[in-house]
Amino acid sequence: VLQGAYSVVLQDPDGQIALTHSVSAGLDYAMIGPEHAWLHDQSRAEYTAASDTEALAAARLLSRTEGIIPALESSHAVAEAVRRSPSAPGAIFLVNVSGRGDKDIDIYRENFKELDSQ
Amino acid sequence: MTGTTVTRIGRLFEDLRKTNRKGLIAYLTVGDPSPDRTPALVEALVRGGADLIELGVPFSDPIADGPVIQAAGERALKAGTTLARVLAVAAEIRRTSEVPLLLFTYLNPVVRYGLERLAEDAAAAGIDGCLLIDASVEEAGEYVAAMHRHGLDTVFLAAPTSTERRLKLVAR
Repeated sequence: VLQGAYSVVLQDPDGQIALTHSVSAGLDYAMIGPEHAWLHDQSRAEYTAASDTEALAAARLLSRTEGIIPALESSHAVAEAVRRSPSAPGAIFLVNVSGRGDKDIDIYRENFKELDSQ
Repeated sequence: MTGTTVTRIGRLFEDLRKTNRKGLIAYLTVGDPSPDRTPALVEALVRGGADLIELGVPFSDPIADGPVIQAAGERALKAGTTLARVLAVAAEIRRTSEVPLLLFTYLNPVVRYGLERLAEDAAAAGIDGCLLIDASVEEAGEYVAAMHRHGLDTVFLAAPTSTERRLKLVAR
């Protein structure tokens, strides 16, 4: 139970809420929405994770190949599609790219340089 | 607010009514500056005239508290204070004092600890009642039942803006 909602929470064994980190401000939170907890409990959705670096690389890939600059939050989903595509040749992936990436342009500028130099 | 048994809290309010006296209720974050020092601080509060002590359980996300209690909670957590430790401190206070004790806590550590287990352990530690700051009265049936099963009182919060209907629920 965090900030009035009952859901799945990152916490220690004593029920203290854990500190979080994400390159994406919208994901830097210790709880998921109660709707997601419910879908997960019913096994109606599968949940995966992407690292900061994977999300940034996915954002760069989508920007360069499609000219769509995704928001950092949605870039995590794009990263999952990139990860799965080799094992599903010919399949069509539907990714919900909500929001817009121009709000993240400073973070992209900074990190793409680093990715390019690797 | 009472279950079937009358707790020290119930007796205190009866006594206050009879003697037409106002009660002094003091809050203390357990574990600030360290759990070892809380019993002596409670003793001092009682010597200073406190009729009832609220034992605050520190929480990482104290959304209902101002800067003073936020800072106290941070120090208490740093000193290793957990809900289990708070119960141990309460038991220690109870060994030498009959002052009414109210456990004052956020809901998440309690959910983690287990409602029934908390009610049982709190009663064994000599605590008289429990106040869950962020539990709304409409959803508290299970919690109230567990507390009453172990002879503990429950306290709910009311605000100046609370409606008549809500005040009636809170008082029940």
